[in-house]
Amino acid sequence: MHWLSTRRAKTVMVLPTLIIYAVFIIVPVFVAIYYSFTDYSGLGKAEFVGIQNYTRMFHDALFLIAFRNTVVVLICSAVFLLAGSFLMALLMNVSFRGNAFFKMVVFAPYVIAPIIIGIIWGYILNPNYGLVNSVLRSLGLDVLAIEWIGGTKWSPLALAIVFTWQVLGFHATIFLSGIKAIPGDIYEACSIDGANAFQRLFYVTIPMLKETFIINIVLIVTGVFKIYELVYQMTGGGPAHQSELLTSYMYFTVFSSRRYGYGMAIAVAILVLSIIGSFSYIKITTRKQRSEA
Amino acid sequence: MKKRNWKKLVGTVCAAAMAASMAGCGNSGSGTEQSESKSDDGITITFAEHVADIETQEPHMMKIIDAFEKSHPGIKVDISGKEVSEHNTQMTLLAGEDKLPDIFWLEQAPAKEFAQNGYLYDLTDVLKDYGINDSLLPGLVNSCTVDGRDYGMPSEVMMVGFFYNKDLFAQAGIDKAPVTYEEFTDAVDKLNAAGITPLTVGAKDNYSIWAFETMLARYGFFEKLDGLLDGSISWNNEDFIHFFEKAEEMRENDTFTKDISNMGYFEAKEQFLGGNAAMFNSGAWDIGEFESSDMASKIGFFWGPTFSDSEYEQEIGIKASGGVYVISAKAAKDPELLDAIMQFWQFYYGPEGTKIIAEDTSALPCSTYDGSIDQKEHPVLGTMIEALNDDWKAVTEPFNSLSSTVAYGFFDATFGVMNGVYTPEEAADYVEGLQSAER
Repeated sequence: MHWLSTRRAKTVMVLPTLIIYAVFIIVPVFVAIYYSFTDYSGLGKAEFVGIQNYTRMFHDALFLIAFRNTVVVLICSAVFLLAGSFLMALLMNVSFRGNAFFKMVVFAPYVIAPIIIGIIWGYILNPNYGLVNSVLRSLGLDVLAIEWIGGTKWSPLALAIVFTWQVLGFHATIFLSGIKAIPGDIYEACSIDGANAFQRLFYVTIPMLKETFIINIVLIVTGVFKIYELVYQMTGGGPAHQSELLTSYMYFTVFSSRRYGYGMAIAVAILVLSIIGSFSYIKITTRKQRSEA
Repeated sequence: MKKRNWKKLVGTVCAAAMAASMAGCGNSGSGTEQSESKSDDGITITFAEHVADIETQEPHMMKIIDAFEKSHPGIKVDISGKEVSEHNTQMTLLAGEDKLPDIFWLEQAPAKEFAQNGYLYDLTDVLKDYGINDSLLPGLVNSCTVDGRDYGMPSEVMMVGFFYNKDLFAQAGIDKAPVTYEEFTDAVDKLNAAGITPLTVGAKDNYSIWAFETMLARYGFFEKLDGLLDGSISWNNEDFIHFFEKAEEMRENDTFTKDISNMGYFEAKEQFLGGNAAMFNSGAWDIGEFESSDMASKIGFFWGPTFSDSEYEQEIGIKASGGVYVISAKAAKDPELLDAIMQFWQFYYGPEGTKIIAEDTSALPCSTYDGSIDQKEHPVLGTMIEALNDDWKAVTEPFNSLSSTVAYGFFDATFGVMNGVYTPEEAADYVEGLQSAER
């Protein structure tokens, strides 16, 4: 019998993927790091400028606005998404007629191209003729008919809401698979011990989904740092770049403003921030779990 | 032994992968070019345009290509288009990969950067040899030069300003197009009083700044240009502050459509053509679309307001070459392909192409045209030709004299003031920050 689980066989099987991953993911990261230390404009020669592009970020008001907006979107999305998708998963776990259709509807936005979602929500949130403000005004709630997009205040919140709507089904599905993996006999034992539904939720389900929460948080952090199409389509980053997120500002810097070197420095900063964000959360929760154990 | 064989295997795999990737690189070189541009059917010229829907937005180009292919059976023009910002991005990326199309459109500032970096063919001699310089309108010869050499041919007559709806003006009690800033403000007040949106601008697309560039020129942009570039003059100077203050006053006077920050260029045009705004900031490229609309006979044009608080020339209008058509240096290495390309441009700028542009599609040709335009049949074109021939001095777009970084910075700053994001001083400082980084 020939075993495929030998070290050599595994290596041979992994090698093609590893090569592709290295060529298309790892190498470009190093290329970006290289250009981030230059004044490259996308054409011609790249002159080495040291850490100038990195120090410029701290004085660039638009970068700081994009950073602030990204943090706002991250916090809002994390709150909306964790709560929303967890509750949605609990609902999806209940047996009722039409459950399969319900799951499909919840997941549907995730398979729509973000650019189309941007177009749809651009119309829905338009302050003048959008559906949301029209409904609010018709209900006499003019105070709530705010400038969702196009203004200087509320665009990050609007982006967080739309992002949440887009990926809610995906995160709910991850939670659902986590819930399904919890052994039924634990719930049975709890019920025998007299635990009610809330107690089962808070003392069994949530503690046993810690890993799932970590996965979702990491995916939310990395997801927020990748939002581009929604900004492009809903606000165009405007007015005057006030609604840019880091990724959309990086794109503007590279392709419209043609400051390739500076744009690559922003890209590297995004990479570092998302790694720090994800790893620090994992570290904190793992440490907490250990101390609890 | 086993270990050695294993190393050999890994080495062979790596070598094969490298060889494959190198072969791939080789394929993207001249071998593929030959097969792409030449076949048994003749030569194919690849052409990249800056509009997404060429049939609608540049109908003259499609008609000229059809006519050219009929009269030159051995040559085909394979045209494709993308929206302007996507097009600009793609050209930069393709330049980096050395995969530029044979001919393509560029804004003037990037065209100069492309030329300086060796991506474009020096057209100086061929423009004379193929008689193109003789066909062009005098003001459009030498449209894009670097060190005295030509690198671009004009893609259009760049005329920008405000189109206005004569019916809505009459409805508001305005009897003629405003000339001075005071007349403009008065017109805005009357339009607002009549419940009509005065001016629609596609602020979401920051390139649609056009008429405001003319206003900047009226505050001495060209006179200050050398100083701006060498640092002896700051963007935060009294004249430019006055310019930004005018944009701020316009916002305070409710000059712009309420939803300006959510309004792109195309939505703004729709608003104007729907009779929902009295004025629209645009240029000559919209003539064809205006002509085919129901309100063609109602559309007038003016250059934008003149300012009494500026000591610089006021009777000026942007009447120059806009973006340019260029030939990639790589395509020009093949003499047969270059000849086919130049035959196409000779046709485009010659009598056949010019006739199609002027008569079939109601656009302004870049070449001299001997025919006559029926003003009743083409009212907007007639209006624009009248403006083109008036005695106001022709200037180029300020945008073309700046780097992309500073130019787009100026657009953002102006729209920032129009949106209420920046004060005039903040706007000027923002552009100065970008300019000073380049000095």
